[in-house]
Amino acid sequence: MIFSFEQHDEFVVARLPSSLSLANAAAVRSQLERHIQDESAELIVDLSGVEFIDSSGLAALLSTCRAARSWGGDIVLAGPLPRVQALIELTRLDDVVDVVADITEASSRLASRREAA
Amino acid sequence: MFHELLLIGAAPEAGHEAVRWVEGSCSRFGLRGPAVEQLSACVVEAVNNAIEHAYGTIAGDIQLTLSADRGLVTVVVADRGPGPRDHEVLPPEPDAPRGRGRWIMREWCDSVEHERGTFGFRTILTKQCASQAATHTAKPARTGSGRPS
Repeated sequence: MIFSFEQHDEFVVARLPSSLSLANAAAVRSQLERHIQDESAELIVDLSGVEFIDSSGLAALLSTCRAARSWGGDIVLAGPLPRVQALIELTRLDDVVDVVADITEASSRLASRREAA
Repeated sequence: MFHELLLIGAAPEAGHEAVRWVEGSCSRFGLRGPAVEQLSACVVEAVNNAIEHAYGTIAGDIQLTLSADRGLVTVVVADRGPGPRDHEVLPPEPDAPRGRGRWIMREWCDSVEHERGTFGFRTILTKQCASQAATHTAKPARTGSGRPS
């Protein structure tokens, strides 16, 4: 599973594997939540490399969002491909998690939220 | 009309294998694009339900059958479990931890039917994946790990 954390300006970007599904959703969620708990509760989740996602993957993202908020932070989902974006919209995940076009916009979103807090 | 069949083990990776198979089969029928992607997303949810609810931690098989007729694609996902107790599908709350799979199937397929019997449980997903004007006459190549039905 290709998975990485990289620094982008003042925030960390988690780059997810090309598939986020029942097969790896629990492991991805665990990695993200560990980072939130141990490193930073503000996290950009880069979906631009995710070619496939299912309801288990969506649930993992939602769980990660809850974990971040419970630690006083938040996550922003960045750059979903059209088929992933379609599933996010169908299930209204974007009602509860910010979804933006790219990492730069995600970084701006987290920065403005930090200033408002 | 053409048929293809895939027999896969009820493992967490089965969903991704099902996606590749559905999209590959549809491509051989000359079908691709968002409608096929939506159908494959629905098939994955049916496969995931079979993995989680029919078998749990027990080993088992899931049989997928795909047929296409003038762009109308039907995929049958069959397992040996009892199936869900009810088939009511409500829109999931955005922050609900579960319950999206059946909603995805309902919203993205033209029809979702269920059959229960001595064979186990079947979910039958149907979706028009091409314009009605399109016809597909080329016989697809036999591929996959399944057997003819």
